[in-house]
Amino acid sequence: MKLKYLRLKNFRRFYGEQEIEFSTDPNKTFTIIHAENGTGKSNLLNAINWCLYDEFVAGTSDPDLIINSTHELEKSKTCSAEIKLIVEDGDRILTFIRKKKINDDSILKVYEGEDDIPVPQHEYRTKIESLIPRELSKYFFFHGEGLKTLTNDATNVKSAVQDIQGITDANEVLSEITRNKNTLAGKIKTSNKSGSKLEDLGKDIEKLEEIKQKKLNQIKEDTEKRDDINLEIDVIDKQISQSNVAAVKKNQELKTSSEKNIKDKKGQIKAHNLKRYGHAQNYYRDIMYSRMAGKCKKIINELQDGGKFPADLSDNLIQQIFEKQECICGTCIKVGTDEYKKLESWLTKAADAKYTADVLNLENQHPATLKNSQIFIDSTADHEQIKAQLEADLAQQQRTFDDASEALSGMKEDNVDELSAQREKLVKKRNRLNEDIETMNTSVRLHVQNLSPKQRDYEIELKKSKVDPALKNRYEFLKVAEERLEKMLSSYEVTAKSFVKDRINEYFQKFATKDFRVEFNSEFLPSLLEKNIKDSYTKAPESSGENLLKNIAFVCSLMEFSAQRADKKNTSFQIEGVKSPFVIDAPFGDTDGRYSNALARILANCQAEQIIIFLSKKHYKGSFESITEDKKLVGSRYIIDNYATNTEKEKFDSDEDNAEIEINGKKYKQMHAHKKDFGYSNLRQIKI
Amino acid sequence: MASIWIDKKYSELMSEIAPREGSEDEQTFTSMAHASCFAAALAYNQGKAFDKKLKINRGSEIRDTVLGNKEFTDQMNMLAMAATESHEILDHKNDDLKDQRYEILENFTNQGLGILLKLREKSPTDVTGINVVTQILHDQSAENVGGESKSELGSPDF
Repeated sequence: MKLKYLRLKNFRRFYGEQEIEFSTDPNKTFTIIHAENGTGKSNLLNAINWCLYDEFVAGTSDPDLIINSTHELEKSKTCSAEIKLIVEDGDRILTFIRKKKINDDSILKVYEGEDDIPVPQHEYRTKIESLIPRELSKYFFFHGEGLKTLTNDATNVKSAVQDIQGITDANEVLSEITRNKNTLAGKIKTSNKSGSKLEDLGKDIEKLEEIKQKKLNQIKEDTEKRDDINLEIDVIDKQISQSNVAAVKKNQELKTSSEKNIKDKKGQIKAHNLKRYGHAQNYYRDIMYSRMAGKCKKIINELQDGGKFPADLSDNLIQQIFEKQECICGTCIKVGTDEYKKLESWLTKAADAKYTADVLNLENQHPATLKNSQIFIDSTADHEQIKAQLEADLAQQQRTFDDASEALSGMKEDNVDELSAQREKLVKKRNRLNEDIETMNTSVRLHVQNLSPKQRDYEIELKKSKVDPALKNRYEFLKVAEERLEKMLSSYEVTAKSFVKDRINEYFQKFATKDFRVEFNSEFLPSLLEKNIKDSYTKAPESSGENLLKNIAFVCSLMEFSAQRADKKNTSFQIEGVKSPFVIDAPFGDTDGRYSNALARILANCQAEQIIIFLSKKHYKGSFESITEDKKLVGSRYIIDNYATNTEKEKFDSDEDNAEIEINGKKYKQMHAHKKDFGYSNLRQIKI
Repeated sequence: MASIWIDKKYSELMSEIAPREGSEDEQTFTSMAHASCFAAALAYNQGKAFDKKLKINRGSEIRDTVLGNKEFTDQMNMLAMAATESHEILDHKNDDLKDQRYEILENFTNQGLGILLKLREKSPTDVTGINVVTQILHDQSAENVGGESKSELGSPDF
């Protein structure tokens, strides 16, 4: 079975109409929905679940909130939410439309074939169960948060193994047979003569059964206690993950980094301003004296053009003028005249090399002054622009620093140490209870062994006795039926457990970060063993990453077991296996790169017909991206665009890294300033 | 000994644009002599001529031990030649002409500081005067290379 198409109308955070076409290409099994936290990832998973089963996945907040609140405010009494889901199962096409109007229960309509032929209402459940039975849906439509604790709880594991074998109904039949058999045993006891061997055996068995039942009750009680402790541990884990330690740390880091950036920016601004001082000091002379240099050049050139300088300062020429008493221009120069006196002073200067050099020096200044004027213009052209940018950067850093300081001033770091200590105590208590349960189970098994000869003797005596033969025959029949059914179910369980066990170990051998082996205890709870010295395997301390890895491998193996059963002929005691899409929401939790890589490789190699995965940028970039893109496994891709309100935007702005995502070299904006006065999400298809 | 004097009314301005003794703050000019040469050129470029009526109330003194360096004599000579429109002013053997060159520099410097002071008053936050000086340099550069002046300071109101 594959999901083909999903349409949402005013469903929870999705305002208006949105649609997704899932990849059904057998070679490109992945459909990726890129979305950051709080933008509606889990609502997509809920849309599928709600459409088929009229319920949300466990742990969904505000499950009563189905209709988009903005739409509800706009339309009030006529508002509604609707999900349309089209699935293909071999040649079959089924369309499911669930609609909820305000103040009404939701209504489902099912259509078959491309012509949308309505399916009779009484067949709805059968149609859905034939695709994915409700009890299996929780393994195929998976909420990532649930992955963390899946195999910590024996009840979860037990029901998972039972569910996947399709023997829920058969187990109910077995309980019914046992109940009838015990009722008959009671009737036989009351019709029996006192003091007989049969009565003694019956009493012995009754005592042993009583002890067995006490032990079983004790196991049940301890299991409940252990499960409660697991819940408490989950709550503490959540408190730790939601504590403000991360926020305090983040703000402290922001404060430190912005403080450093402020210092750097101030330094850059100072250096940038100093450049201006340097430019003023280096270039002022040429710039300010350019006009004077031009003037000097002009004066000197005019003298030169008139043959007066430096030629008229030539010693010989002036001597000739004195001798002729006439200048080269024809002016009469007689001794005692002003001209004569002037020439006399020039003659003195003509012999003065320093004076000539001083004058000629001023002739050559002008070109350099022009050149440096141009250099100054060029070097100061973008000064103001750069300065403005630096000042804007400084102001931004100052705001970040102020915000972080303000946030820190109102923040007292939560005491996570206390929570961790409390968690450790609970883990110890849980481990003790697990050991008690294991010991008790062994004791029950021994007890059953002791009970068996007594039961055999009882049956022999019962045959010999004069108890009503009809009662005897009915008891005998139920006894045989119980034994055979138990044997059959036990063989199914062995097959399922052995498949799951082998498959998990296979996953770990191929993809785990270390040399791990998975071991199952008597309750089929998996735990990790790590390779130790001399090739021995010892219990490994499980990190949250390893725990996730174990659990995703567990879910994948359950799914594969179901798919394998779908290909086989089942007994009349089993519900048929199904091949299902694997829809998984944020499976990576807080795992680091190593585990993300292993998880991505497990998902890429798991034999699901279709994988629909909702991922944040943090979990997509890196391993997941390289594995899926390199192997070209992605057939369909969407981004959830988040349009944030002012309050939400402030929250997202502090997480600017996620404002856009780069996919195959192209950048896509994921977070947008609000266009309207409410926050909402939009689905955007990205071309493959 | 030849030297030039800065009028007392420009002492504060001078201390802002040129370094005071012991100050480590960045200033627009590296010495009073540089600031003086800048101011003198500013006056010349603004079309000022030698003002015979100018009276100087003596404040700071810049001696010829500083102004006698070639860096400044070139500027002083250029100003003197341009202002008198004669090369004769450069006669270094004539002490009267040397005094005249110093007098020209002093006259133009004090006129230039007057212009600068008026421009500075329009930009009170410009503590070191760098903005005003940069703008003047920018406008003058543009004029030198034949481009348009982009001054936002406007002309001083004399």
